[in-house]
Formats: sequence, C-alpha cells, structure tokens
Amino acid sequence: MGGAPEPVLVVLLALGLRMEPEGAALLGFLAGLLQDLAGGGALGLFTMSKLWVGFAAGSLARTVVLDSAWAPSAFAVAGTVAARLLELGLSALAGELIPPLPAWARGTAVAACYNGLIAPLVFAGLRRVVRWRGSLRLATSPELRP
Amino acid sequence: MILAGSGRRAGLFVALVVLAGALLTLQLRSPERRAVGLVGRAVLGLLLPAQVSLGRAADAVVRSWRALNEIGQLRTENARLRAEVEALRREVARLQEASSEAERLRRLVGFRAPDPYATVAARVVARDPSRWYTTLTVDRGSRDGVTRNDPVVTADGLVGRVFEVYPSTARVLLVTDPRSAVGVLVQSSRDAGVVEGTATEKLRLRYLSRSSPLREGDVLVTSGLGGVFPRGIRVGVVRAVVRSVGALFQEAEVEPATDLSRLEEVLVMVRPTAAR
Repeated sequence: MGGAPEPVLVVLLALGLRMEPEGAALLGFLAGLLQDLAGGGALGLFTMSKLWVGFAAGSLARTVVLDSAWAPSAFAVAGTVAARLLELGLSALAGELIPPLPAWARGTAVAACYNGLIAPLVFAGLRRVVRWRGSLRLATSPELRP
Repeated sequence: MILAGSGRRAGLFVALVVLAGALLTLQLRSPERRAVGLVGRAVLGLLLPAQVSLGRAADAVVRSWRALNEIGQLRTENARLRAEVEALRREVARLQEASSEAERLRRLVGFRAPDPYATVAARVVARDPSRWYTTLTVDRGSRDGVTRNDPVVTADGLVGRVFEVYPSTARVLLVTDPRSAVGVLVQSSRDAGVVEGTATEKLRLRYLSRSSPLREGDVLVTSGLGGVFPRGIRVGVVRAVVRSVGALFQEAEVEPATDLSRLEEVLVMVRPTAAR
C-alpha cells in the first residue's frame, strides 16, 4: 500500500463507468485476482476490493457525468481512496500487517494523486477506443453499405 | 426475461463476492497462518459462542461416530482375542502334556534293568475298561524282541508280565489280575511270600510266615524265584496286616508300587536270545 500509481484501478474505474455493475464487478474480480497472484500478498485481498470498486463504478455509470475535464481525476481520486479503505479493512479482517495510519494516509494520498494525474489520459484513451470501435461497427453495418 | 437476466447477474455478483471471500479466508484456515487482525478478532469474538456450540456439537457427532466404529472394532478384536486365547489354551495343554510325558520318560530312562535284561520302552495303546486292573496292550511286540513272560515295569516298580505277543503289540497281565502271582520278599526281614491280584487296585500278600515281623509300610520286592521276574523289583507297600487266629500264615493288603490306573508308558524287560 505504498504511494505508487495504480493503472489497473484507473482502467477498472474507466471501464466500469461504461458497464453494468455486475460486469464491472467481474472485471474488478479478475483484475484484482491477477494483482493478488502477481503481488504475492494475501490472496483475495485485491480481488475483493477491486470487485467492490468495479461494482460501485458500474452502479454509478448512470449518475456520473464525465463532461468536465476534472471529472476523471476526481473520480479516480475518490476510487483510489475507496479502494484503499476497502483494502485496509480487509487486511485487518484477514490478519494482514496494517501500516500505521499516518503512513497509510500518506501512501493513499500519493497514490490518489498519481491516479488522478493519469486518469484523464486513461479515460481519454478509452473514449477514443470506444469511438473507434463505434465507427468501425458503423462502417461494417449492412445498412450503410452502398 | 429482464427479471431473469438481472437475477442471473445478481447471482454472478454474489458468487464473485463469495469466491473472493473464500480466497481471502482460506489463508486464515491454513496452518501456517493463524493470526487474525483486530477486526478479525472482533468478528471472531462475536462468532465465538456460536462457534463453540457448533464445535461441541461436531465433537459429539465425531465422538459418537468413533464410538460406533470402536464397537465394531472391539467386536472384531474380541473375536480375534477369543480365538487367540483358545489357541493358547490348546498350546498350554499340549505343552503340559509334553512336559508330563517328558517327566515320565525321564524317570523311565533312569530305570536300570538287572543283567541280562535289556529294556524296551512301550506305550500303552489299549485298555479294557471292564477289566481295568487285569490287562493292557502295549505297542511293542515280537518284532521288538518282546516274548511271553517278559516282565513289565515302570521306574516305580512292577507292572506285570507279557502273556500274549503279537508282531507289533503285546498284552500285559497286570499284577492286580487274579491270575497273577508274584514271589516276593519283605525288604526289611527278607521273609518270602506271594503277592496275588484281586482285580481291584490292591494286592494281597499271602503265604508269609506267621512269625515274620510284618508291619504296615514294609516294602515288598520280587524274590527272583520262579524265573519270571528278576530279583529286587519293587512290587508294593504293605498297608494292612491280617493275622487270623489258627492260620499258619499271615496275610496283608498291599498297595502296588506303580499307579496302575494311570499307566501311559512302560518298560518291557526283554532277555537276550541266548539267555532264554
């Protein structure tokens, strides 16, 4: 729980806002599981936290409007804090070593900042991909063929 | 349709939560990882009473199951032990029999036959219950050098003489047979008499001089007169002296030196061919 950017979390938030809650939860589950397996920590910790973060993102898809330039950053910061809080609680429940609160707060703040910084890029990139796929689908649509 | 779809999605979500929870709590159950955190301890504290009750119930079930299993095992073990005890009893009986036989044979081996006799050990193979104190059959016969009138003894004393010989068996006339008469000497006074059978477990001493100082407990041995029995074999012990008024001789009741009711092995005293 150090102060490093978490691109997986940001991508999950960005995708979750475009999905159904359950689908986003599944995505979060898989992403968290990969993170757990790669990290070597308590198995299930990130799986559970990312699952809930994904579900929350999917649930907020209809209520959050990302028309502001700061919206992705704000959303990423909030998501990061929420994920960190979840991980802290789950760590306590699972008997994992819990960092001292100041260190945890500092690490969370740094990670939230990093995630807030990369969030506009990730969200914009994802928006472009979606648009590109949309145009591709339109181009290959049988109704539009000459 | 929509409801079914949303229900399926909710089910998927619940399944994911359960799966993630299982992954997380698996570690708590692993033996290498027993420590739980602060929140974990609080949750466990809340769950403890239920956990204890469930544990007790599970223990009771396990104990009952073990008891049932043990009953079956105990029955099997009991049957096995019973069979083992039975086998050991048979073995003990066999060993006791072997020990007893060895003791009897050891005493027989200790018997020294006077010259020129040699001894042939024989086993009693038949006895007529109606004539228990008269005859018996042994498993040695003419092929073993046994001849008619050969004396038959044990380490304790005289048994009788051979009166019928077959190739592999011989019949022995016991000293207790009424047809049997053995010349004897009172060991202490050297007075001569005759011991006759009575068809009971006792013998009768007859024709002993009235002047002989016969007493209860006197030992009678063969006199060697008559040529059938060699001299000096114990015949019996005087148990009661009878002196009738006006009689020329005194008589006595004699207990045989050998317990004729429990004979199993005997020695047949055979004479070399040249000595016959």
